[in-house]
Amino acid sequence: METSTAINPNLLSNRLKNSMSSKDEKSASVEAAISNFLKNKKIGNQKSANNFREIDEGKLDGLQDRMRVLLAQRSNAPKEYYKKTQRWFGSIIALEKDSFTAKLEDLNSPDTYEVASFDIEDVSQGDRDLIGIGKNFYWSVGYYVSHDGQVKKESLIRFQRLPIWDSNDIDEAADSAKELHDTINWE
Amino acid sequence: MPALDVSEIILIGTGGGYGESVVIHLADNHWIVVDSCIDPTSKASLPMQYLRDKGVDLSKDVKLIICTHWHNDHILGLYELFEACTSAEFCFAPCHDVQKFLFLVSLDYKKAERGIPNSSTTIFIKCIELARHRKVRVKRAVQDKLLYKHKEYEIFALSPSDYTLEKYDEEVSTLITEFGNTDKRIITSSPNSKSIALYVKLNNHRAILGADLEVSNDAREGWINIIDNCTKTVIDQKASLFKVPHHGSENGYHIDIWNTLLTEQVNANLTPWNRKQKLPTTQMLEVMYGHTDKLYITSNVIGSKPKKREKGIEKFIQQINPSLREVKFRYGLIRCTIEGKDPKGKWATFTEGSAMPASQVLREMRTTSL
Repeated sequence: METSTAINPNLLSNRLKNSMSSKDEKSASVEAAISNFLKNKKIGNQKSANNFREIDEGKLDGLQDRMRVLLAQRSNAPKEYYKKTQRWFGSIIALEKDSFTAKLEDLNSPDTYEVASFDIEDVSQGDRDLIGIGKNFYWSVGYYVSHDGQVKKESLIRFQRLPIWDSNDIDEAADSAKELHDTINWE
Repeated sequence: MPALDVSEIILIGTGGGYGESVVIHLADNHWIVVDSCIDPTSKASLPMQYLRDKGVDLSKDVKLIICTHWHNDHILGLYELFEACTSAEFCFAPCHDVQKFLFLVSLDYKKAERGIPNSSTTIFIKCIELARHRKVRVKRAVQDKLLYKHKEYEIFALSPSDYTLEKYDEEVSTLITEFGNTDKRIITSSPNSKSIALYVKLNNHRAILGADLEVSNDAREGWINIIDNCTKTVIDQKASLFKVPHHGSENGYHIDIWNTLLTEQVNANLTPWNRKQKLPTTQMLEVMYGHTDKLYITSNVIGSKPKKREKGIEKFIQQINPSLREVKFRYGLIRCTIEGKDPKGKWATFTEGSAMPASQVLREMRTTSL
């Protein structure tokens, strides 16, 4: 049986358009490219995939079906959520061979801070390159309720990923330092 | 409020994680504040709270605020204090290339806008901005420099040395390279040679405030440098009061400090450090106690425990990460007073909060083998 995950290209286009916050030139060109792509595809007239495996097995066309599966999963699946979550903002203050020590600011009750050691194995593979002195992460522990209502305990460490400085940022900091230096009443 | 001719040196401690501060009454309502610390719940600056409780006119009587080094455990609450002390001057010890140092803190300050809060640089730059706005003098501390004078009452910097400040230039460049990235907080492992140790002349009596200054392997900096050089310059007599440097750590101890710079049975006060590492150790407390019976600490060296939370979460945290420990807040204050004009005057010591004689802590530590 075919699933009814076919979508109207115009709706998809609007949805993507709405998700774009910036109106700059770059966004406009991305918008145009997506719009053209959808116009040239006959979405809805093809056999659709139920899951990514069918796509990966080469039974179906790639991108459109991935989008259908993804949207179907998002719209039909019951929500997954956390309850009773404790969160911290951590900064690595010491590194050992297989572990690191961090200072943790309690985001639920920001009064006293805490210190803990973590095994590097506790960090997901994708985040391990981000481990280093001074690096920052969020740590949350709590009860995770899956879409089928099962309650699981979960501990999650996610390292911060931030854009690097651009030349304006550096210039601003340098200008600010020069201005302070030149205008302070030094003794 | 103390009598006009009574000098006071007050050490405020927080148990180890929220800083320390020293408040000085030279004489005649001339007050100096060295560093600041906070109550982590109210976020109130503890030296400011102390001065207000004593009825000191913050806008007039606080003459100088000294930031011994820009680390969290010495700077928290400093901006609020400086803001209230409207006629105070500001003092710190930048490297020789001040503009480069200001670039480092400006860059780090920008990170706060991107979600990497760094209290120390944020507070520091706000203080500098305020000093510029008020057009008050900003003093650069360096060895032997007179930082404040009122009649026979003077405060001199014993550190950092010129050599340290020269080296600091290179270190600031390294810090910019290593921690300049947007996603890193500045973490420095051995910053304490830059710390400002102070020599306080109270008419006939002397005090040394050790900040976090350590003993370096290089005689051109740290305590050995002070012993070699300052005894020929600003140090004119042994100090009868000592704020023990760096929480009584082994790195801050040298027998010559006690034998050369301090009187026998000196009044010595210290604050503990209660993170993963705990200071002072039983061994170091024994060593210091061997020098003087008049040793006081702002709170005991406590074994840390997990923070109290909802039972289920508490139990789960214990299962997944039993190493998690709260850094407890323990307010303690040691107030020492002396009549500076009286050559035979002796220090009187009073304690508040968790402060106590170190002998008491030592007894507890011996039994629990901390």
